[in-house]
Amino acid sequence: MRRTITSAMILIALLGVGWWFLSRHGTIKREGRTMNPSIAKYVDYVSTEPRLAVRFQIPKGWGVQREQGKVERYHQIRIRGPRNQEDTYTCYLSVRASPLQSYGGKFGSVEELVSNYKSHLFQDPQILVQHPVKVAGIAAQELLVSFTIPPLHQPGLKAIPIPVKTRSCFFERSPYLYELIYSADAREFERYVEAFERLVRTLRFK
Amino acid sequence: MRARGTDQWTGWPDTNTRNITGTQGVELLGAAFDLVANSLASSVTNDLFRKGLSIAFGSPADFAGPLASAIAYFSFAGIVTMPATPDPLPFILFNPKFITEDPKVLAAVLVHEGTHFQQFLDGTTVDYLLRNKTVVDVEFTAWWNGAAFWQTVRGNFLPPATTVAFTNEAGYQAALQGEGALRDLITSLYT
Repeated sequence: MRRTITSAMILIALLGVGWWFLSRHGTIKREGRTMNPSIAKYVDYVSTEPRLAVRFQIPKGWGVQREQGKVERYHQIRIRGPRNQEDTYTCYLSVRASPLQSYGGKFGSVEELVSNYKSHLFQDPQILVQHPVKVAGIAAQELLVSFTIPPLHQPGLKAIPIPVKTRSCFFERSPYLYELIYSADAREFERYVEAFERLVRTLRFK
Repeated sequence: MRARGTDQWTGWPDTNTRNITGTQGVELLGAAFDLVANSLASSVTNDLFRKGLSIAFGSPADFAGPLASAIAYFSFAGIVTMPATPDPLPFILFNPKFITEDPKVLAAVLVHEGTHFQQFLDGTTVDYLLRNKTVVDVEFTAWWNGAAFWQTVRGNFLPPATTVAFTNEAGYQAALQGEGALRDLITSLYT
């Protein structure tokens, strides 16, 4: 009996050490989703939507959602990453194509699209970086912004402020305006920003 | 405004009542209801009126736990009785913490929660429960409609100074970035 109790105590102690080790150094499952300290592997994603005929690489295990506008005209691929520590915000990558105004869309140029984007960051927006870059050989505008989502008093949401950072590239490839987006809790932004850099680097039109 | 689909509750008789109940804030909710009824979002109050949906300020106990900070919620059960009258009946409750808000500010919330009632009527809620629609689909329409209404009254509340005005303004600004951006935000918050 005494031996059994001793064995049980040793087992519990070992399990505790194992949990501590995994939580500090390894991969922990939290609320059904994996939270990796960095991205171990990427996979190719090839869009089957003819109006968003692109391919690029995404972190393995991130969920892909394809979307078509219901009230506005656009096609989008959203790739959901891990939830933040406060359980208030899930980071994501998005690739969105909206028709130019001359093809029935809202905006006639990258400048108009960027200007609208910057005007509606709520609240306390800061434009941290804005500079020209190239995406798939096309001239683009890259933006890094921060803002704070105020406490949202909706059922199912925690009513606490969320500091957010978003990095985006905007460019035109007629007949569409494209947006590549990475958004995350500002405190955890750096953890997965490499996924955005990989997306920008590997994006190709089919 | 996004219109709702075809009514799935074909056996639920109309009562044609503005059913604002409870012991507190009845006048306030009545004013909010009338504002919506005379706006571009009148289809929402048309449905609330037609089915006589109960709208009231709840008690603190109704907003315990995870609902503590919610401004309001739409509650439903009774899906199994479809297409007859749901049992129990659905209802909308407002949080008594926000009983001092302006009726115009609460009216935008009524549009949001009333849109969820419209989704209950047109089968969107059932589709969500059956996983044919996502929480993003369901919440997008409610946020979009709430933003469309808020656009018509927000000029009176700038810069936003109350909790509810801030929540309304945040949804409105996200909607101005476009449908895709609003769906991104909802995905980030809810999933």
